[in-house]
Amino acid sequence: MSHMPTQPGAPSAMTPAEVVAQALELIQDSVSRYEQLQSCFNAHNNEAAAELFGRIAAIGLATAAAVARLQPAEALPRIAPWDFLWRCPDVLAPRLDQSSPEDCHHPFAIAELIRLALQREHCALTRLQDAHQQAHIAASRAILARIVEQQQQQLTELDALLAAVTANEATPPDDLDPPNRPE
Amino acid sequence: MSATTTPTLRARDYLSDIKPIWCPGCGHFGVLSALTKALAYLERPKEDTAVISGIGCSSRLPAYLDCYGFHGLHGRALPLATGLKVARPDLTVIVAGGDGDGFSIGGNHFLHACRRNIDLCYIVMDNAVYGMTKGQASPTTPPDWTRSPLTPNGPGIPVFRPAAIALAAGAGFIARGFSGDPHGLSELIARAILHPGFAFVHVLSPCRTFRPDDQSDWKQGVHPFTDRARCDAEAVPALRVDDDGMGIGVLHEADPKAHSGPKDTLADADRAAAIDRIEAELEV
Ligand SMILES: Cc1ncc(C[n+]2csc(CCOP(=O)(O)OP(=O)(O)O)c2C)c(N)n1
Ligand code: SF4
Ligand SMILES: [Mg+2]
Repeated sequence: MSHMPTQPGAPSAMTPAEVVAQALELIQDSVSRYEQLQSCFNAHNNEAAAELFGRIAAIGLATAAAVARLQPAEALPRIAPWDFLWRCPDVLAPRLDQSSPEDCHHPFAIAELIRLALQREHCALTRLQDAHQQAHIAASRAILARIVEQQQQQLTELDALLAAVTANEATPPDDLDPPNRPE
Repeated sequence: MSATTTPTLRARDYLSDIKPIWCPGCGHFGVLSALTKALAYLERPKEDTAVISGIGCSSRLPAYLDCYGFHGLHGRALPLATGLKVARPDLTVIVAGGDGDGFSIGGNHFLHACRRNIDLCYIVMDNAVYGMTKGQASPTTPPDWTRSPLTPNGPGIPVFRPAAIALAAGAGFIARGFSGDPHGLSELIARAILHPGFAFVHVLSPCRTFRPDDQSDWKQGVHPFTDRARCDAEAVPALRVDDDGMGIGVLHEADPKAHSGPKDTLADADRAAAIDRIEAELEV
């Protein structure tokens, strides 16, 4: 293998390049998940939810671009996926809400979906703030402070999306993808 | 399939243009993500990689990847993959499917694939249900699960223990992962791909739609597997008794040097002639 990832050192001793590589993995992993959900809701005829995740993914991409500008791309080390430090729980984990086995649709309200994304992004913020507090290298601390700012900005934008939710988006829609729906 | 031109592919480069139609929150998304991460880490050329599956929600996986793939018959992914690997030993052959596909209709193939020790990486996305056919009990469904109208009093029979059964049947590499942690799962998949011989990755992959009642706590239930099984079949009873089914990690790894898979005795020319003969017989 020609491009073997480097082993990260202790989290507190990360170099600025390692910090940016870890942060990009954190943000891009969330963006990939939002894009998955965008296409998945499209497939299940929930256009409003699909559009929402498209917008959330775009916000994440903008954050990723801002973070990438903090360090030249060629300086970034490759991290093995399992050496990624700042794991957060998945968005849309299974939850208890079915009353009967036939009740198998996905009646997510837009407000609820935004809250799920917010949970994930708040977790990301906590990981970044912890890393910032623990960083020993001054340059890494400085970069982490700027990444934390970017992440806070992202949360502000998600909060604005939530605040703009209309009354009928606050409740679950009817089943948009019932069984035996003609294609 | 597009050929690789860039030296380093990112995980997302292994995704095809076909978008998954899995339900929102389906665990199989995490497996797709973990597999692409593993392929990117290993820098596997797309044109040297094939993913073979059977039928089920989980078995749709090959369509979502930008490498060779074959969506086969229900339960028959392993024989298909065995044939491919024997004919093209140079390929990385990954087999994917569900608990119904692999342990029920395909259960017999599972036993013999472990025994034959062909160099395959077999990923089973276990949600303890037949997801695609709308929620019937599978071999890994607990005996007291009563939500399917087909088994209103629960299946009532002990569950199939994939890891212990794979160990008893001779699998050289056995790991268990959780789709809710794609980063951790990618390591198990990467190690399974690198293992020379049959490598089985059992993935706890929740079905959001038909098993939301008791799979929502898997996230809290999984824990690191600490008691690595010994490398012989005598360890099976211990694995069966001590394993709660939620331990995550490599459960068993035989010495790769001891790889005992069938030896390839055909010279290249003989192999080509044999393939020609078979193709002529099948009129392909
Ligand atoms: C020969 C045959 N028998 C039965 C079926 C019906 N069938 C389709 S998928 C499936 C079970 C799928 O369950 P699993 O492999 O666990 O995948 P999941 O959908 O849960 O991911 C069955 C029984 C079939 N397609 N072919
Ligand atoms: S039915 Fe279950 S296994 Fe199938 S896509 Fe939906 S959540 Fe996934
Ligand atoms: Mg299943």
